[in-house]
Amino acid sequence: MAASATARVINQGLGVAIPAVAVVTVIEFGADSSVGNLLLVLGAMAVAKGTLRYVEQFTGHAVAFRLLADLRVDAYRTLVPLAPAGLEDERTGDLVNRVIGDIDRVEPFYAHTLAPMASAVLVPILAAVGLAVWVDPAVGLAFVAFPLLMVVVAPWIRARRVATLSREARDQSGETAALFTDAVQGARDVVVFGAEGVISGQVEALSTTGAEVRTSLSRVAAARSGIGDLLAGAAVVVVTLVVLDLFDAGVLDLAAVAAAIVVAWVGTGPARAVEDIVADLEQALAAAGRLFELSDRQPPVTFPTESTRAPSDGSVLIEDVSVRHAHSDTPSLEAVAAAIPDTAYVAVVGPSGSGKSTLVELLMRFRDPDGGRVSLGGVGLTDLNPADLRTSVTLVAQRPDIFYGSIASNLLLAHPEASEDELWTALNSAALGDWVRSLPHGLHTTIGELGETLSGGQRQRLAIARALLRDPKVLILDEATSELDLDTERRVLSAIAKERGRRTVIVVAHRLDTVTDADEILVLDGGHLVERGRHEDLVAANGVYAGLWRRHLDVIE
Amino acid sequence: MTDTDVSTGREERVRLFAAGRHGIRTSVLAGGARAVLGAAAVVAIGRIIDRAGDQGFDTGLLTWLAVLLLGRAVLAVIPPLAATITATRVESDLRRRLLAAVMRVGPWSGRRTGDTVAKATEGVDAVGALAGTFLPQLIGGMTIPLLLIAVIATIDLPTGAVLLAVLPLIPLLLRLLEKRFTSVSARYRETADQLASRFLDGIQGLRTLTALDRADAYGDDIEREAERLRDETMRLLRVNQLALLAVDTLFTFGTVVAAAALAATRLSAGAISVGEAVAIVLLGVMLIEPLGQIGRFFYVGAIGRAAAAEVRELLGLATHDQDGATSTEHQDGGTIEFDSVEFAYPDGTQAIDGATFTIGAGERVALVGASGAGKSTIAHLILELLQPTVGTVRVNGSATLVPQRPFLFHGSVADNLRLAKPDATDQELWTALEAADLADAIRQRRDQLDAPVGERGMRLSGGELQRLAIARALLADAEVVVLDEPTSNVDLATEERLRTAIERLTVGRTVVIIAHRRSTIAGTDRVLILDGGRPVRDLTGTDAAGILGPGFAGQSGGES
Repeated sequence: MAASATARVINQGLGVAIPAVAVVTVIEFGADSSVGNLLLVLGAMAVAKGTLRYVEQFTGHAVAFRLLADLRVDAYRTLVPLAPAGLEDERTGDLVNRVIGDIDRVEPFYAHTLAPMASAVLVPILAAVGLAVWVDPAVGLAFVAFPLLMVVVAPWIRARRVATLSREARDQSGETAALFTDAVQGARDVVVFGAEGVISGQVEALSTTGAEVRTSLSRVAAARSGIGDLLAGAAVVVVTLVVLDLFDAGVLDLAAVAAAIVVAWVGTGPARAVEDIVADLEQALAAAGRLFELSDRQPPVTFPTESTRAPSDGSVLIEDVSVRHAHSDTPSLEAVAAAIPDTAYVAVVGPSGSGKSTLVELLMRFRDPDGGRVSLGGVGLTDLNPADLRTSVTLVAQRPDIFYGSIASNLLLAHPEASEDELWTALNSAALGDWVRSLPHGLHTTIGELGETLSGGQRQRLAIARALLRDPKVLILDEATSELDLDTERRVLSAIAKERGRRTVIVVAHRLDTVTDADEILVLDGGHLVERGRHEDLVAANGVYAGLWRRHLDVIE
Repeated sequence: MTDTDVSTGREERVRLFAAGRHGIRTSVLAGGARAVLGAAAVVAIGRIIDRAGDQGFDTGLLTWLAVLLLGRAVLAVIPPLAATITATRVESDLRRRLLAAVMRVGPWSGRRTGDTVAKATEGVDAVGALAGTFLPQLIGGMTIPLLLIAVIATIDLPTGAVLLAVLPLIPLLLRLLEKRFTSVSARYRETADQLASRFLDGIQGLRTLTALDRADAYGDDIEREAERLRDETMRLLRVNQLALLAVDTLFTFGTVVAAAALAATRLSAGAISVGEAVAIVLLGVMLIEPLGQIGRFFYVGAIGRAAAAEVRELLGLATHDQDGATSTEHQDGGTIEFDSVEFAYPDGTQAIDGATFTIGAGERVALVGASGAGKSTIAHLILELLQPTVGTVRVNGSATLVPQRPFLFHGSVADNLRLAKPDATDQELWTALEAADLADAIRQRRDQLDAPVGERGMRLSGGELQRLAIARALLADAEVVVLDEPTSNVDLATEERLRTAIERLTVGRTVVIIAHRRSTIAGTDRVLILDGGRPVRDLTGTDAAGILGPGFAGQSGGES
């Protein structure tokens, strides 16, 4: 940084000195000294100037790009503890815009603030000192007021309004990113409904308000530019007045007059850079504000660094838990209690919106209950560190996340050291082995973003294989087989059931015939645990479950 | 690259910046006027110095100088304003066109969302800056020196002539440099887009990464990729900045020093006065000013050019795709005809291979077949999301879709419903929700129709999502309804309600169902079994029930 600033000061200093020296040499020695000498001196100065520019640019950027890389990784890491519950209301396009776009705009703060600022102040002062020493102190004084005024005035113009507008501009950029993310990922549905106009109307509206904000900002930039130019012109006029006075008084010769005017003409240049620095700085501050917002966020759950002790087994104890979602009037779960013994095969059933998914979120500790407590193998979930919790419990979600990359890389996410044999075993258990074997590139087949080249059933089976690779104490399947045909679903579930006794399995079920042999079925309705027991007992009890079962039979027959 | 390539590139470029043409012109004119006033001021300074040597202070000339400089300051206001107007116009125009392109090729382009989004935001911003800031400077950098040399020539013709001979070197060097920088920045942009994709992928999958305790490890991947981007950029910068060194030196040397040397020679020869010599030196300084500007904003130019190439490529994809959009025909009624239809994806996969069949108005047909048999492609052809490569698809009437995984947009329930019918009244929305059996669930929400659905519909359960899709399809009121295994995401109780909703949706319409399960086929009149991209069996409902047997093997066997 210091190297960059020093290089810039000398570079720009030379930028002022070269024409001054040129003028003096032309006038004083032009008549008798050889042009060769002049060329030699000026040529050397020009080479030095070029070299220093290189040093300035290179050192400045070396630091800036290092910082950029670090900032991006930091931004991702601040998001991690917020996920998933703390990011529910965020738009991912906007988040990516913060990590890429906003950080890009923070860069000039590091690369292009210190050095230009130093040279904006120092070069005019050095020029003034030069004028004072070689021409006359009065000339130096008359000159220096103008560049210093430039440095002060530019940031001062409408500072507060500019800060607000810069922030608005960045937020609009984030909205544009979010809108485009939706548009790309939802293009099929937009096209099917001929709703291109709706989306493009939104983009258009955003463009219009964005243009208004930026036009307001550019008015300030225009004012800065005009005032800067005015001050630069004033410096030339005032210095000319002063040197002509001194020339009349016989204090200065013609060469000194010319040199002083030339310095006044070129010497304010470095100070003009302040206009750009200020504009960049405002953008950087607005962008940094958007980044700080993320890092200031409180994570929905906090973990201890060390677990009090490791869970002894895969038993799960749910004690009187209640959850109330912010955007809903009715509680998602109300005083639910259940004890699930180690290695049990338990089903959770109930109509849409009965609280099944919320229960899963609690078991994964994506959120904490508003009341009550969940423990695993005799240890409260809040007493487990992330590593112990995540190796003990694994989830296969209904809409699993598949990542851009190969089948193997998606599987290895779960167990980075897994051997190829282990990958195949997991794929076979998930009834996906034959299909992967049939692919020309096998395990190394690339699957698109969000797994878009896979069918819904293939995605789900890949996610199940991934979960099996982790070999957890508790495996949660949250409607994880909903997109499989009946045959495949049976094969997958029986492969999982074969390992009964190895782990606790909690199946959130949508098709009742897949859970008739569960050790226990928990029936949720409206956030309450209304029934529990084995299939036969529940059917005999003739309650909510029996009703669901009868309807199930109707559909099957 | 051939000559024709270059010329088409140029045509496209004009089209990219079309919206900003006026702004660019204004900016260039203001820059030129400023240069002329500046040159006049420098000439005035020369006269002042000469006059001082001869007869002392000249107030008149000094007033002239002040007026010229004031005029310059007034003109300095224009470029920042023009730059913003140009940039915002170009950006709005490009975003609108990109959006249209995305709609056309979006889900089938195989592109990563993050990549496209980065191009539409940061990329377009860069093109805007190129048009608003860099292009006027570039044009100024090539023309203003000519103006200044003309002024020098009026002072001393030989000096002007010599400088004019040196001048063509400058634009030549600029072009050369720009070319090199553009390739560097293309790589930079590409890596940055990749990084954006990785971020989006990671952030959208953070739930799974957290569940697998891999979120930190994914961060390490990002760190490696960010480091690679940095490394690459620095290595290329190191080389390219050397070029900058040479240019800085040459520019300074070629203009200021050359002007000074010429002034000295001519002064000693008695051809010009002292003041004129000073004016020539100052004009030499002014000669590098526009070039200095270009140097300062070289990144804007280079990154903008690289981004422009990316944007052009995205827009080009869309026009290319449009070429084939001729063989889908429209009439009223609800019949569907496939006549020797073939379809191949851009990667060469032949998805449909000679399909010929007709579906009558009001018929209910199930499409059955293994993964890759062509079910989804046929559905997409009916919906005109794809156009056949060979043959004709005739759909008589409009078609709508209830997808397996409906995409909901960030916004409210009402926003998502109005996608299908923008002018629908609240009453119409409730009627559709009622028919889709979703009205009760929405009534329970605090904000009713304005209840937010969350990004990608995350706040709705699988069953609610599906029923919202049905309500949306109802509002579209199309003659043909395509259902992609619509009951897969839901529990049984919901499945039954869904069935009722689907009944209401499909009454009196032509229905095409992509079926994975036997239960889905129940209630259809006809089953088309697909294999290798064409129907291999065509069964009526009663036949189908017997032949397809338990679990219909053709389907599950192929998929697992």
